[in-house]
Amino acid sequence: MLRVQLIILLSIVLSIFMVSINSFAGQPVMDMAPRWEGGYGFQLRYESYGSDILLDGDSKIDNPLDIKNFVDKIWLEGVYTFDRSKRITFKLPFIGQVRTKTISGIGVKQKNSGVSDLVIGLPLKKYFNRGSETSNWGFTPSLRLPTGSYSGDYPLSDGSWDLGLGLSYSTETFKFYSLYDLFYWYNTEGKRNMREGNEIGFDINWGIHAYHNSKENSGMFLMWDIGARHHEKPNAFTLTSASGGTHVHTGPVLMLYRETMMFHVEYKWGVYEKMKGINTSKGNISQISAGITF
Amino acid sequence: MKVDLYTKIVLTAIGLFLNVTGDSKLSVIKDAAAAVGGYDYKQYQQHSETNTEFLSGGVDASEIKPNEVIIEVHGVVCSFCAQGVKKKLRKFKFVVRSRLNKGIAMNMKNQRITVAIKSGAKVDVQGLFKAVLSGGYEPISALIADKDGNIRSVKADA
Repeated sequence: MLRVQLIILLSIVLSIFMVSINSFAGQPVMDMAPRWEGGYGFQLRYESYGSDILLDGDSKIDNPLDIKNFVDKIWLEGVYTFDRSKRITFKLPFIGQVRTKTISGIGVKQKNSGVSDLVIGLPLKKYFNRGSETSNWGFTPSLRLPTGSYSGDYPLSDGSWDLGLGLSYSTETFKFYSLYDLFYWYNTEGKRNMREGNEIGFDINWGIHAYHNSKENSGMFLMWDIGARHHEKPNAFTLTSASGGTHVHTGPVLMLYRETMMFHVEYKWGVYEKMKGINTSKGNISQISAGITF
Repeated sequence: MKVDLYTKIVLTAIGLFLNVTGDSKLSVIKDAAAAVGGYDYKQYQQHSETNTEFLSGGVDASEIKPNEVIIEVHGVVCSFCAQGVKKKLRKFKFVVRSRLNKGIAMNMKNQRITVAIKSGAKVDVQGLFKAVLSGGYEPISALIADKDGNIRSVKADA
């Protein structure tokens, strides 16, 4: 009982601390910069997650067949800024995925790799620059195009056209940064009757501008990220890695910048997961990225 | 021991990326501590020692030197996000790239952009304000000091 109380007290203290310090975001090249007319940038982002832990709902169960699912993605991302209130972005993933799936009571290993679905976004932002603080509201309609292969036993895409909507707010001072982002993906039915299901999620980023050097134009942000996703269960025809369920991940983020270049690394632990039926845990998520703006 | 080695490797890599050398390492720790504490003692010291006679919109006349323009802006808090402003300001022919940091110095704590100008050149102040705006920020006012140190102030249109 005392242990539970201590955990609750620690959580409250930590929450108050994190709220009080405001903070920052995971993909600075796509969000923070470029905010100038005619600016553009590129980013390479590596993302990895997966697990061999089998869950029934939110309970861990035995996994005698060694069922597992691991996904690696390399995202090529780009942004062009018409003016600070209008941008266009693209995100193209190259995916490598491997899993062991139960087929007729036997664990069957499957793998696939290649280019997956291209995402085009149109971030619209309203900026407020007040004294030594800048903040903005963002509204981002997005379209996911079926550019990935939908063939085989473990396809990279369900071959559908999907529509996304995002609403965000971020605020930044010389010391602190914070971002709040709510999004929804409406996933239509694709090829071979596959339908991955709709998804809703939010991200919170809090951080401090821990170091800044005006002369060298370099600096460092330390942040904390909290992300939650709720994904509908895919239909029975879906063969992709989509699994459905509710996931909450949280962890630290480090961002370094120098002149026009930035480097970012983050690691997030799965702190809550509830699957639709029996499925593998998403596991912990690691990301590393490097970007440049012009 | 292995953890110590990895920590040193990571910190060295970060230091090289940020170009942090020698005594600056100490200031990194001080800056980080000040950020966590929510205040900056250096900024407080600078303010305490500065003449606070403001000529225009909060820009202090004692900050300016001959052949310089100081622009007061709102919203400039991170140099990674503010590269566009520098790029746009450097395009003006009257900016001297051999002075300051390629002609521009930014002070994000005080919301000031200092521009080095050619001696005797006619300064397009409204053009500078437009450059700040298209860089993503709000220009408030400017002080312009000519080669003899004569100062005039201009407010940006709301």
